Amino acid sequence: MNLKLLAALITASLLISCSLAAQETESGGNPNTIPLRISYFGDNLIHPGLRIGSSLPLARKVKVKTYRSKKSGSAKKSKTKLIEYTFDGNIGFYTQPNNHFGIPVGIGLSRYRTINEKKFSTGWSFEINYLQRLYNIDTYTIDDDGNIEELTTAGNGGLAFTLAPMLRRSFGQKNMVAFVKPMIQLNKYNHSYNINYAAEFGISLNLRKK
Amino acid sequence: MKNIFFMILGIILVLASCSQEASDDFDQFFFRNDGADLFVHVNGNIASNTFILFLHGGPDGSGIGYNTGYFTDEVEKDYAMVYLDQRGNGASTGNYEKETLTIAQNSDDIYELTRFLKARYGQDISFFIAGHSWGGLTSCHALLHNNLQSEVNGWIEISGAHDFIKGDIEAVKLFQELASDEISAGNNADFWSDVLERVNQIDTLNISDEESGYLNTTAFAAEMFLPIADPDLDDSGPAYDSYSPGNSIISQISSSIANPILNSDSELLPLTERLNEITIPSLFLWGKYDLVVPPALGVSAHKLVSTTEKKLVIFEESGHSPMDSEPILFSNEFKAFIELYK
Repeated sequence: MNLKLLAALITASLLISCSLAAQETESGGNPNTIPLRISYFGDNLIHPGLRIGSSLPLARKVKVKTYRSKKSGSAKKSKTKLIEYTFDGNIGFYTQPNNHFGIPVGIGLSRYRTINEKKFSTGWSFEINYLQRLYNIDTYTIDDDGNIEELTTAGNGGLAFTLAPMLRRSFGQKNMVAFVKPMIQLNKYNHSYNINYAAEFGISLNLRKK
Repeated sequence: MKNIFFMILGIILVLASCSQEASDDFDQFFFRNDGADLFVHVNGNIASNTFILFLHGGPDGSGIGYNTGYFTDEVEKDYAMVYLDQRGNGASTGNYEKETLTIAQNSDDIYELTRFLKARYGQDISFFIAGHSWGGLTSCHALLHNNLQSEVNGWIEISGAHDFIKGDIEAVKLFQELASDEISAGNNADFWSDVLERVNQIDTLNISDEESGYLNTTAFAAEMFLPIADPDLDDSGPAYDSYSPGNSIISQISSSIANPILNSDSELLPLTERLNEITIPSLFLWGKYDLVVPPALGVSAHKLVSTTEKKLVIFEESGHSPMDSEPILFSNEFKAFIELYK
């Protein structure tokens, strides 16, 4: 590969993330804050890494449902359901110590559901990443004349599709959100696309713009 | 915010630091050939200048599975073992097409790796090729490919599947023989009666894929009911710690996808008729109760190779993996052969 392609993807992702975060939203997000996610990212859970990202709120719907409680007689109760959609940008890395260093860069779409303004919300996310693997052990080849060549930036890469359920909990005035995100992935690896799993858990901070 | 960032970073650094560094008796690298990055790790006495390229079984195997136990510990004291994850297997990876998952390409990989190892460690090193099970087929094919024999001091075939068709036919015969003996002796009669009934229905002139699969699966299951030794010897344990397996989950899944492709190609390459082209010193190591690749294949291979420097050893208390069931005897035979021809 193509380190140029990787560099372009990283740059594009950063630009997208920053511009998304910087935009003033018209769909319910706070225009005075920039969301920043920082999390532990574990390929196969145990191969450790770090991930950062940001989001642009795309849509926000509030549904209020009124119902009569069977137990408590005539008193009416209401249930408020908040549905939020966000467009996400992420960049990260993980390391598999005896094998490679992975750099996933990509975009995603997330949906969150919060009931009655509780601190907990659930959701799912779909992501498309480009995963570049850089070997962290020496890589060599040999030419026709028997000369050894060391390939200093050897690796391989391909698209990775991710589907993940999510659980979030907000703290304080919702300036900080902790989240857990187990991921099922379909990754290009060797000659085919293969199932893989990973996990992400961390926090999302709403940083105030100056 | 700062505290959380440093806490996460700290966890990552601790986990990531659990890697194994190269040393005087350990090395690992990828070797690139025709799009594939082949995972190689070298363990043992590198200074001995005697290297044994070990080819795993499978397909859907890896070298890491063999780098544990008494046998490899013993051999590594005196020589360097080179464990290769063959194309499409284990931690080998790269950007290559499915069409290159062939035995011929695999043989080409082995040839190029041999050239590389000699360029890296010295043209004067002693170099052997050993293969277990499917590795018996790939090692045999590699030796018949690109004149590799001129680069190799000797060949060690361990329960080697160099002829899938002959292997199935001999498995039916051995199942019938062993099942009859065990039923007569009253040992696990229910199991063996079922097996005997099933294998008696197999037409050895036309064994189907389903029947071949049954023979293979049952061969492993039958080892529980045969007098196979199970010694409890100290060993150094796996070559990797739990934080950093050589193979990630995705590489194991990828191997399982490559398995049927390589299996199909292997079925098309019965090498019995070409064994007479082997002219280098050869050692054949088989378990008496090997129903996966019956010892009859070892007997015929020993007879057919065109060298007088050859030996066949049948281990009396072993099945498909004599290096595990009789590791002391096995190591002695293995090392004696290396010592003789290095």
